[in-house]
Amino acid sequence: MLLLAAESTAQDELFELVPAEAPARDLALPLGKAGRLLLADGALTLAGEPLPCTMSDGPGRIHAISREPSGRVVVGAENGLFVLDAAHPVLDGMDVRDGVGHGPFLDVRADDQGRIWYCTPDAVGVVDAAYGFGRTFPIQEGGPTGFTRLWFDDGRLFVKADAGVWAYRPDQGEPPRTATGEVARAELTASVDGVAPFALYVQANGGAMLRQRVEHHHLLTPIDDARLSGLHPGNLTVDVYAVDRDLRRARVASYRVHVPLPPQFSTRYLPGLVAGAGVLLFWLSWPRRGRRRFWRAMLRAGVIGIVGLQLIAATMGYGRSWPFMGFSMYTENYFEGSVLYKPAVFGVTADGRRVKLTDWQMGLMQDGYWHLLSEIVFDPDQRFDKIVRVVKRRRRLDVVGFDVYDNRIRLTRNGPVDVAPTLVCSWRKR
Amino acid sequence: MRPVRRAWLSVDRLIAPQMPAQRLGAFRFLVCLLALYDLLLYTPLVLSDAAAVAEGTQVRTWRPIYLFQLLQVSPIDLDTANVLWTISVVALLCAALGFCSRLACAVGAVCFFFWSGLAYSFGKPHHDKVALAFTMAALPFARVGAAFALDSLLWRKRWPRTDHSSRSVKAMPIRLAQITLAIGYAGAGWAKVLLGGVDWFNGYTLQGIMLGHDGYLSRIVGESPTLCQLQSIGVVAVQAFFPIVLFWPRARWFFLPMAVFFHLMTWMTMDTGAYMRVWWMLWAFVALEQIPDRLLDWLGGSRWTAWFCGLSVTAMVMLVGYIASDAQYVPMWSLFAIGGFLLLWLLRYAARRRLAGC
Repeated sequence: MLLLAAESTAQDELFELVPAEAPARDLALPLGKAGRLLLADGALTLAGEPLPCTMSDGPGRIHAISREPSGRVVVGAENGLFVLDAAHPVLDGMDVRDGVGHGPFLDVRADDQGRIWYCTPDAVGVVDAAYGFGRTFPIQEGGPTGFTRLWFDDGRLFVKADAGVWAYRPDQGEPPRTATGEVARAELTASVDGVAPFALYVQANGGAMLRQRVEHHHLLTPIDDARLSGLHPGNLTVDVYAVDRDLRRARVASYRVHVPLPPQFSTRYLPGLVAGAGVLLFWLSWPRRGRRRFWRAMLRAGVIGIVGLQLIAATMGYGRSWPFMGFSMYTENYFEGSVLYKPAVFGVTADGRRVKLTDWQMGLMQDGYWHLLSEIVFDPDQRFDKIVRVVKRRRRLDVVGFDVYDNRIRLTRNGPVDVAPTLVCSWRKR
Repeated sequence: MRPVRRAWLSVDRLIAPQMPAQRLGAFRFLVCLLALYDLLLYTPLVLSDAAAVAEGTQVRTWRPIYLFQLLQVSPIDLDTANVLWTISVVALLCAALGFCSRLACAVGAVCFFFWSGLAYSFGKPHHDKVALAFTMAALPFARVGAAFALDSLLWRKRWPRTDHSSRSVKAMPIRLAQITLAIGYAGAGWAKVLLGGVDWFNGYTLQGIMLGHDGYLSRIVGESPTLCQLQSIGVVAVQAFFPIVLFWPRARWFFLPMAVFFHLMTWMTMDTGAYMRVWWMLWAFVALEQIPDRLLDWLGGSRWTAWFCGLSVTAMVMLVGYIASDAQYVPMWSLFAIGGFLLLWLLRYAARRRLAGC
């Protein structure tokens, strides 16, 4: 991913040695009606029973637990980060995509900004709980190593290392921004393989990590070498987000990108080619004798041409050439351990009740649910206000907020298991 | 040149075989009703998009299908959409009834293409009406009003002495529907083999596809990876080898019910919907003009045959009624009432035939 060399908006001293004592670990957490979660001897039990795990290797030795504001519990273990909640009391691997260190995760802490802070023996890092990307703090020369514990106190992050306790105050200075403070806007033309270079100067603590979001997509994918990539043909809006070392995120650029069709599908050449082929086919189809030769030739050329085009389209991927279609849908493979994702939206009423809402009740079209939901998630103030009105009309419900979850199903040898969902967005009316 | 000429003649026979006019007429009726159903199904979507365009509050992105890119078609506003809707409905009704058949089919086909293109340009294109689209486009090029049509009734009235009953016509639309369906199934099957590879049959893939949707039976059918593995093999076998029906008509007794079963299962296990626009097109493989006689024979046969026939027809009618009414506007009890009445009527007819036979 791209770490732009930009001046830091806060002081660069990351950790300072402080005289402090590590508090006692959280070894027990109440988990609603499911019972009491207890960490003892490197294993977790719920209401006295050992917790099942969806991963074939299991979690290994469990070191720490921490609860997110949403109620989900994050577990730091030898084999990675795991999650569970009261409705899904089963240990399952947390969704981490990139920028997260390798275990064992000796301590974890969830904060109220949707971040999970962790330490391994060699690194301290932070993960965005909603999008699964993270950053690891660089180890300074003469700085702390051999981390074992991590906790928050008075807005400061304390880390216990070999040489004592070190402290760091996150979220100092301004969040990531461009030099002017404005969102940069430009029109770009991508190559036919969907890559568009751009130039951008961003200031962020620890340098900016840039990530892109294509219009109507909800994932923030990392940017390599100042190039937008993976773009499909058409005119797209691609937002660029900068993320600082504390994972504070800000939209710093919005590009309108034109991605041309591959030459073989060019709207200029392909129709000409098809017309030429049609004329040739018509000539070949011309009957040497008999009545109504023109119409017979048209019929032959038309039917053979259409069938031929269907066969050609069938060899290509699923695209927008309807009614000539490819068949690459449902060819993606799943394996043991794969995760299935399904978005779910809950309306929150003034008395704190949470009600599951259907797409129709929110006035959203079914055809590509994330397609619409992603725009709402990334611009909630603009969109949720309208949805509040639709829900009031269609569901006869007054909602003051929404929680958007990505429900998850883990495929295991013993069958599919519903595991703790990820809270993607939580919006409350101001 | 003789082999070339012979090849072309066989192509002629292949793409436009002679079939009874009644079969083509009945097929036209079924296809146009299906197109009308599809048009009505997409109406709320297209009209809401058109209203959003008119108000400037468009949420869904306009990503035109390739044909619209070529023709530089833009989104339409609500007034235009309403006019288009009216023309479409009138044209498709006339086409179904066989009134000015070829003209009505031509207008209906253009409207159907445009309506579907609008919906797909605001959303994503689907495979379920590919065969329907090509068949609609082909209908005006055949004598679709020669039988089972108001046109043929008017024709008979004008020339009463002509023998219309044994007329056969070139049934290019039926053959095009058959070939398109075969390409569709085979394409879907072979794509899984070639793109998905051996891993597509590991059980988890089909399980993932089913559980990724919220079908009524997703959980039950997709619970076991081993069961899913067996289903994967069955699904791909039916899809990949479906084109056999073009060359070996007896294979239709296996492939057609299997294809319908496959679509009904995807309806129950995925959110594809009932996919009626595909399996309804499978009538293209059936000798429609023989159905009444065949049904009467079966109803007049043994008690078991009569029961099986009666139940099958009733189930089919109820299923189509349920799907066509979109399961929201028609109460379930009315469908059961119609189904019960139909079953009673069929069985009563069967009993009478048996009594008369005795």
